[in-house]
Amino acid sequence: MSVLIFTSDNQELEEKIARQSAEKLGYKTLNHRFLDDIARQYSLDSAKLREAMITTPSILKRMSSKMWHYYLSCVETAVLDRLLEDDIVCWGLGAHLYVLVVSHVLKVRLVGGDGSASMTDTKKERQREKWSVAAWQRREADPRLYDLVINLDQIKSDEAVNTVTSTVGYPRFKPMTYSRNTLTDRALAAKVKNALLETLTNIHVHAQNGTVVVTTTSLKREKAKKVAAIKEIAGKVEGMGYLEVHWNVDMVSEAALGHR
Amino acid sequence: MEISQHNSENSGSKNEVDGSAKHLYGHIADIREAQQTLMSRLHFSVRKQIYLGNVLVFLFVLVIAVVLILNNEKVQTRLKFLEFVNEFSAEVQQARRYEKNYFLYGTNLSDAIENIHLARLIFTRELNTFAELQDQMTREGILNKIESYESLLGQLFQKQQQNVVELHKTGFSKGIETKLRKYGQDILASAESMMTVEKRALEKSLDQSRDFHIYSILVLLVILTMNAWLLVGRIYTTLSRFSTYAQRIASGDFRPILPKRKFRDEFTDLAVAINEMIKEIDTREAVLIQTHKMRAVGTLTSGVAHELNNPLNNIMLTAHMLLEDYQDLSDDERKDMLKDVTEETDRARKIIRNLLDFARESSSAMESVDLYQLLKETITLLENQIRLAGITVDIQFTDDLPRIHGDAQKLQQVFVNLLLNAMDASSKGGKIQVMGCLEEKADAVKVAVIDYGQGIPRHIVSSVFDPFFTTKPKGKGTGLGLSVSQGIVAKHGGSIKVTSKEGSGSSFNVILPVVTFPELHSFHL
Amino acid sequence: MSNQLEILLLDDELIVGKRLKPALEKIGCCVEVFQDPREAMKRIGEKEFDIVVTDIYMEEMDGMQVLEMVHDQWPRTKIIMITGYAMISLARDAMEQGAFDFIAKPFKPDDLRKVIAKAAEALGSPLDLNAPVN
Repeated sequence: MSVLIFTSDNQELEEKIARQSAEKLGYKTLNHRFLDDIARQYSLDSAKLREAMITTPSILKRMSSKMWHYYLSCVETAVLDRLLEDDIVCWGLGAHLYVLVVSHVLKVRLVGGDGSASMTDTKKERQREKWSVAAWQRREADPRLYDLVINLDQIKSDEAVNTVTSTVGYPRFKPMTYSRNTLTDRALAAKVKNALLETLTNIHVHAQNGTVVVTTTSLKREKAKKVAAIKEIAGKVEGMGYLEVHWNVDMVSEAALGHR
Repeated sequence: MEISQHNSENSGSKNEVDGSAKHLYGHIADIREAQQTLMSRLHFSVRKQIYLGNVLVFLFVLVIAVVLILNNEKVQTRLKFLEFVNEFSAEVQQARRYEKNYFLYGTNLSDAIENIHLARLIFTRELNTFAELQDQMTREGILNKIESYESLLGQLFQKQQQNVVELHKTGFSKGIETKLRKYGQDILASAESMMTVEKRALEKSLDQSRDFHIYSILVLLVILTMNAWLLVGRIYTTLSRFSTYAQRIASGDFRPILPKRKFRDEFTDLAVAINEMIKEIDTREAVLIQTHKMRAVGTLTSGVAHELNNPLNNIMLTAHMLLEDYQDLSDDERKDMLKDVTEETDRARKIIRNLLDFARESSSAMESVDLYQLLKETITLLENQIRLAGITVDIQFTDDLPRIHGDAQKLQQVFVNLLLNAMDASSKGGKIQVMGCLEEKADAVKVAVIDYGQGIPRHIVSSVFDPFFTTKPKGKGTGLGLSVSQGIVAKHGGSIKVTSKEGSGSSFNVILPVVTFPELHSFHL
Repeated sequence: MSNQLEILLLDDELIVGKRLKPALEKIGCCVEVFQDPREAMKRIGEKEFDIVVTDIYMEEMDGMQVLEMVHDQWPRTKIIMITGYAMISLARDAMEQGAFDFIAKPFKPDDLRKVIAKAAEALGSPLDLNAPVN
């Protein structure tokens, strides 16, 4: 009936609770194993894809920022496409960062679970925050992103499973036309963005009721070329309604050029 | 520099078009003009004045010194002359003594000749030196007498050479003696009178010298006082002007310092720097106001976006049904449907037009403003927010309220802000009252925005207008709304006052002066 | 017709009722349209409808109140919310209070028809969407 998204810094507990919840609810599961399918579907390097899911391009020397964004966009597109099916428990795919404002998606953040936080944890947290901000401009640890935050130091995992499964059973998490449309729009936007990121950069896509708005920046002289390219590529995406391209001048590059 | 110029084009362009109107914002063009005029004036710096003053004093002292030295010289000359006269009369007296001896005892004639000769030598030697002290006549008279005296003695001497025995007792001698005596007395008397004259002249010179000392000290004192007075006056008065001007800037008057004096100096540089600073502050304030406005626009946009969904839905349903049933519908039905579409499109346009009008970056223009009309428009602009919040807004203005002189766009921003605050404070189903009336003295209009919400706790009432003060949760308020609003109202010569009772609501009273825009005196330098 | 769905449509926008009435009648529903929530509530008090479609933000009365009252009085009735002010919290509240579905404006007539069909199915009297439309 609904979609459950888990996220935690403790991957073992996350996997355990997510699996138990899925079992209890009779939902399908969608997790990091899906990355291999994604790699196959988009002909990506599987190892690189896994690395992209945890590191930012600045650390990963072998991967350019452009490529990194494209890899993540592939994950986003594939995951959103699968989430349209409903009755899914999803974790380990960063879905909590790009599935927003969908009323039938219950997002759960699991914290703690391994005693007190150590030094390495803080370092890891900082690394995760850096990654999540770079990828989706959101701080993973921000509790406002979630419907439910469970502290596993205080609540046992079975209890957490019970809490989550009973919460997702509330009528308020039932899918409705509005929320399905929202998710469909998200999926469409992701698909368009993915198609565009294959060759272009600085792309932001928003979709509503099938109407897609692409916002981009570039140098003034490249405007016509870039807008034409976007129209060409995005026009071919399946499920596309009306397309609009908004263009802004790339101040930074323009300024850099001006000082040369 | 490029940036500020760019900005100045935005906010200053209107000024150039409409130079006569007064503007609250965007003095950049004025400033640029003032800067140029300020700098193009003749340069007369304080440093120059100090230098000049000192040079004047020095020159004056120099003149005094020269005069004193000259006077000194004169005194010295007179002293020397006195000495000479003294020496001269001593020689003459000696000669006369010998002469007397001669006539008594027949001795010393040659000594007398020698002495008188010496006297003559002294006299002729110094003749040129003291030419200016004695007139020609006296000098020649004395010289003649000496020569006569000498020649008489010479006659005696010749007679003696002829071995005339007891010559000094002869009648010849007696005749000469009488003459000699007369000449001798005359010479001595002349020398006497010369001495007296010279002594008097010397005294006079000394007196003059003393007087000159006294007067020159007095004059020097006056000059020094004048110099200091001019300098202090110039520095002090300008500094005090600057301090009043600084206060004025602090109160938000960003008009530039205009040139008035005929010259420029260090203070002009300061004025130019201040004008430059005002330009920066002015630009920044304009940006701040616009930024804040855009936040308000952001709040309003969500309401408008939702409100737009209604006409859009009507259009969509109508268009789809028209498409679906096109064949089955009568002409009238189709026309009716198309009429609905056009009407709803118009409705959509109206919904966004108000907001777009408000959002547009406004040029600041002072105009006659009907506050009632302005408040009604503002409430229309906020209609969606008001409806969403489930609040009723009641507007009551007394009849025939005078118009005020102001910047309608900026004032609307103030009221949007106050109303949004009032709405935040009110709970669902609450009521906001907007009341307009004339102030007691009839010189100002008061617009009160009253809510019956939670009120403002007493301990923070005094700080609500402080920049960055906010009671709203993080990310919801910038804390600049009231600060910016107060800035705008203050520029209109008005004020915002708040009265609040915890638990029963608050009233924000905007008081704006009627018609007469407060004519602030320009600052000149 | 015994299996004809009885629908009450409440929206203070005139055009919504004007266009949706024929659209829904085409799929075999019996539609009563109201603009004033009070009149609609009066009618609801008199008769049990299969489906109530209501707007949320209206001048006189809140659609959420309509939802609550209908749900209390006729638990079997399926209530569909349509609103231009769609927000996740509002949608979730509506679902929690027992709404059958929640649709954001603007929507297409077919969107509502699909939801109506789903509701009919849930009521045990399925509609054939395709037949009447064509």
